[in-house]
Amino acid sequence: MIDRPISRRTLLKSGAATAAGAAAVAALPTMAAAQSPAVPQVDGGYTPPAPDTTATLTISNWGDPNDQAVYSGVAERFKAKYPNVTVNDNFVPITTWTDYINKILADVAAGSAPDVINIAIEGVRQGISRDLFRPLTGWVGSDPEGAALVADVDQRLLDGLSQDGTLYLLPNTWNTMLIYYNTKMFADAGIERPSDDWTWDDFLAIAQQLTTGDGDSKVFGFVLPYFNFGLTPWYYSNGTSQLNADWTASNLTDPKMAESVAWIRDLVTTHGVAPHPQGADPYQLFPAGKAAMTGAGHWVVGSFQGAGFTDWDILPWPQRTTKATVYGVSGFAVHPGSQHPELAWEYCKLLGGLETQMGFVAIGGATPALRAAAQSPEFLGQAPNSELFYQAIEYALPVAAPTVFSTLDPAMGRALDSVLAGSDPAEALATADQEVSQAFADVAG
Amino acid sequence: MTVSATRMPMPGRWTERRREAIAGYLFILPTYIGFIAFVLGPLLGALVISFTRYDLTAQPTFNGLDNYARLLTDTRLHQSYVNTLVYVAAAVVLMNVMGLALAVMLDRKLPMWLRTILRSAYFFPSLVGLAYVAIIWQALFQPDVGIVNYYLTQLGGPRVPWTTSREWVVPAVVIVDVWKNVGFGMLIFLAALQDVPKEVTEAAEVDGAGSWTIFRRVTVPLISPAIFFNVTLTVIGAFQIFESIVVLTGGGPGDASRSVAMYIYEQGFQSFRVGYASAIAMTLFAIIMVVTLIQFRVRRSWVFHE
Repeated sequence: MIDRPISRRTLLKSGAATAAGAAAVAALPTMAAAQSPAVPQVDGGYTPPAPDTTATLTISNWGDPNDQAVYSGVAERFKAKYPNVTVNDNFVPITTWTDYINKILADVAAGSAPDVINIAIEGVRQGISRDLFRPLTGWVGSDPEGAALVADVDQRLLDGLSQDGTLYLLPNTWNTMLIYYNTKMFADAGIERPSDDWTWDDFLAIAQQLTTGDGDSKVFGFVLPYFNFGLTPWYYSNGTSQLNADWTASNLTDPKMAESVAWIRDLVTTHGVAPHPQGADPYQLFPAGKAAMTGAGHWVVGSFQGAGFTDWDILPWPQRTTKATVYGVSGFAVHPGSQHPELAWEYCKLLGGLETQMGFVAIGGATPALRAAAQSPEFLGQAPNSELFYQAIEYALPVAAPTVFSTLDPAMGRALDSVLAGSDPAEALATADQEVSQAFADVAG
Repeated sequence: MTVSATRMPMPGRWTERRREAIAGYLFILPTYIGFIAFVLGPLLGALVISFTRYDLTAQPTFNGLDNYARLLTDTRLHQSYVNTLVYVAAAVVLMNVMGLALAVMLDRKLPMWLRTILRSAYFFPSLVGLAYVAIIWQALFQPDVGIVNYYLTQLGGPRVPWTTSREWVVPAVVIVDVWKNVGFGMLIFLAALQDVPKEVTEAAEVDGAGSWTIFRRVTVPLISPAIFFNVTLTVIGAFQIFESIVVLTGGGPGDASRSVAMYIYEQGFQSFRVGYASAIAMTLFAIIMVVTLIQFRVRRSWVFHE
């Protein structure tokens, strides 16, 4: 469905969803706040390694060719700072996050542990449970440079990379889901831009109005971003989630989950405002004018620009009970077994630093985590209402990324497929629930 | 060492007979080594692993009968078994009936070139990689613009959602699987039919038997070893069905077309539950073994050996 290989977009495609039951959605921000890694007082006691240090650093990395170009810029800048350090930037193709983690564990067992690990939120809980990340709190507390980076990132993004108040990864970039709409099609149909607090019903009415034609000239009101991260806003904005509040149990049997899944199905079947997701790539249909709306994060901006498509604008996700959407964030960690942890930390700071973030802005990828980059004219100038991307963190909830993410993600995919093929939503979700609950039991046992 | 010395009959170990026996064993040794290394060894290994919890990274830990207890409550597994049994029944009936029908049609007085062309055409699907033709099948089955639905609707039939509905996805897989494998069965039937002595059928004809009676009473008994061979092979093959589903539907929608072999692969190598995957593999192994033993047992009652 995607026109270029692995990118930050993978983070989204593989992203599952998130947060909590109805009550939990309300409770979560509080909980997150309670667990937040309070940025410690900086004591300035940190001394960076000497510039003439000789060593080899291995990075476990992932990304598409555009990302790789940004990362090789990091390696060059590091080389200028530490000329005697050799950097092995190993790019690993990601199939699943469990698979990625297992590859790292195999390297660790073989005595070639990486020094720095690039990973997304989906793999964070799992990585922490396998002791893959060294806590960063000490450095953040003693290194003014590190503290300054962390201070420029929204607390909720840091929460996504922390557990029990301990920060394990320095943020890289992040994504959220917004509604993209075709401004020309809206104007032609005389539809005003809806308010930022629009509802599911408002959304459906517009989608119905913009679904026209037949056969080759068929235009749909909406095209589903049919992957877990892209479907998750329909759960959150209905005040539910796949998991309980602290991500320790399945919440798939919540009737509100079935209600959201039925809504997604009805967009395709009952209302017919969206094409069947099989073979319907939202990021081709939308810029081609075959669909008036879709959902995406900032990651499509680069490809829309590349295709010369400019008739679009963005809106927050419509709400049923709650104004909410999803976010996912990736970051860089230092492996606890690194022989050169301080060098690895120095490398992480470059990876998460402003220059690298601006590199990602230049390729039109995900949203930078540093406010300095997200508020730069370069970023804000790329699209209308670009400030909405970073503002979404105010009401976004993290993608549900428990230790059993690699079970949850495909189980949800099967449930959705099955419902679109005619299964009852509650039954399909009950099957997924059994599977996810078993996986939680396995982890506990 | 001289020639005569080696020719000298040695008492005891180096008799001609011994040497022949040793040579014989040496010839079959590679097969046995292969069997032990790649069949028996892994089989015993899987049996041991099926009593453990093993995620490929940490050491396996013994967990008794937990994996086997889990088999009973795993609804996804049950669905996969139901699907697999449907595949087995459909494949065994369709592949053998159609394979035999095709073979009978070819086993008649046809111009040599025509027979060669038809035989090649029927056998061809067995030769091509399914991964390539699956793309074509997906296009054929496409609900809106696929050729299959085009002709169906032209003939007044419904527009069938072949691979996106729970009802039709299993038939779709069966069609592709039968198309893929029927040629192989046909070839074996054809070879058997061509071995049926003409005198026997002619004698029956002289005795006044009709063609259907000759086929049923003379030909079928004579080719029954080939039928037995094909049935046994299709049963075992159908129980292990994997590729046809992976490339066509990926097991979906949901689990509607998933087979047990696919589920084993998923549990073992995607979810990294190697212990549980091994336990499922043991059940599949046991079922295939029992079914095959039954087939060999009932063979005496219907397979005719000259």
